[in-house]
Amino acid sequence: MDLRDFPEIQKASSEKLRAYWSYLQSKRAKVDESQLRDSDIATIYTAPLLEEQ
Amino acid sequence: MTSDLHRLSISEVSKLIKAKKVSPVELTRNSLDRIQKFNPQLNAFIAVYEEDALKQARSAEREIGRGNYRGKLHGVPIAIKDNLYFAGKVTTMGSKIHKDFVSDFDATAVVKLRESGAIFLGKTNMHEYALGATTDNPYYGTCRNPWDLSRIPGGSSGGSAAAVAAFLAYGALGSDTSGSIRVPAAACGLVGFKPTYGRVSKYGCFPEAWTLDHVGPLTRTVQDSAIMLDAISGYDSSDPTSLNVANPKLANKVSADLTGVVIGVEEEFFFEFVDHEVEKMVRATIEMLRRRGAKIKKVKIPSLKDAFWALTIIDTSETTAVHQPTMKTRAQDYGDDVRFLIECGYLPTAVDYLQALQLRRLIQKEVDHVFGEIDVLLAPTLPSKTPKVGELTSVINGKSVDTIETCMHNVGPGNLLGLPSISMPCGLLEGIPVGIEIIGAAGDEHSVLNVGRAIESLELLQEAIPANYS
Repeated sequence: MDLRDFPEIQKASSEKLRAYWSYLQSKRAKVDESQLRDSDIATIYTAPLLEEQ
Repeated sequence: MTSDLHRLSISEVSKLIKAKKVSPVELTRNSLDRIQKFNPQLNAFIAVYEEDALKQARSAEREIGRGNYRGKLHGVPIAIKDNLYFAGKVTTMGSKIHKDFVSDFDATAVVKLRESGAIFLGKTNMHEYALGATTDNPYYGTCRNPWDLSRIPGGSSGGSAAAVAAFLAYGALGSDTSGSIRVPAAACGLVGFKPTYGRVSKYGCFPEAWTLDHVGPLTRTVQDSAIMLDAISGYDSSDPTSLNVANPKLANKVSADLTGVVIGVEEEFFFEFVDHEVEKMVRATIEMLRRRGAKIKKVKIPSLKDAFWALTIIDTSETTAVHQPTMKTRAQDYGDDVRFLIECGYLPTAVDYLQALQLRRLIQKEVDHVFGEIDVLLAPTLPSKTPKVGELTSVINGKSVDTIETCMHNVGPGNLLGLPSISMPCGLLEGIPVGIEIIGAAGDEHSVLNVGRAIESLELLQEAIPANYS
């Protein structure tokens, strides 16, 4: 992502944001991706709004 | 009446009100006097509703006098975090941007407390937009810990905690997205209860991260926590995430009996990096519970190692979705730390966010399986001693760590997974309370309260209170 697309982000934050993101990547989940494809986990679903009974 | 009226619990004072031995007006005046005296040093309140509170108190007194006693909160002065809407009153969210915001409706939790007859003393200080754990607020002042004014009261519900700990209010409402009720409860020696996600309506609570947000009470006793929870919980059709399930009243059912109770201890995540002295106190508490009849079971929840990543991605993404429109026009009006946190939420991709939601489900499944074998999990609330005001880093066992990340570590899973969790004191370290966290299965507030009551019965604080506020 190019942070320059977002003028509301301060230029002064760039370095700190890079450091933060790099740190967060070191904590990135190391989950077995096949587990995330299990049907009840893969489908994060929001139910449609039904008329109230 | 005695001059120690302010030190009574809700449970104790409600008996006196019901018996007409103490008047709600007397209680409210007493609380208002204490706020006037102590708030300048604590910065616990952003707004004090003196006239309205006395009017409410007079009304409660008349009603009780006529024999219409509504219940244990009737006539009891309490405080509300300033991100819960009050009709016709300013709700600031601790911010400059919302400094003049007036809602035209009450938050559902406020409505329910109003119906229960509680007296509203005012709105409490908080970390700006609830986005931090220190309550060092650039616009409404640095909130301070009554046990030691050089230390943080925790956050983001720091004002609510300081108000209750210094005996300015009998109880308070807070909100909790990444520990914002439990961290201040730990820092200030209180019982802070984040209920199951959806148990208490969030309607009228300004959102931080809507899939992680919870509203709950801060009190001085477990029984008081149950009383407040009973008053504010229940289905609310105005909140699409509200749980439409049975909502048993618990205040009359809380028991310290540990017969048959299985307490889980998970070492790899919750005790991974904890101050040695804090750890010693938490383990000693667990051992005392074992001696009182609880069974202690070691459990493993390997997926918790991914909880920090999932919580951080979800929290920052949702927070930035809430604030991005304001960031475009008024970015300069956020405090420096909060603005940076909102900027962090621009970084995760849509895929990161959705995988974090999937991970949440994965961890939920694993934890749910573990709760088939145990009643509650116990852990230190804060892995470190309560930090000093202005400390960006804390020291744990000689190693410097980020204060905010440390505060969030053990309380975060409760938000990520929506589990009911209490923090309560388990002793004093260098004169400051240390918190122990009790986490229950989704929907099982009862077991959490019972184990909380059992810990309370150990009298680990030995009646210690913040010395300058007795």
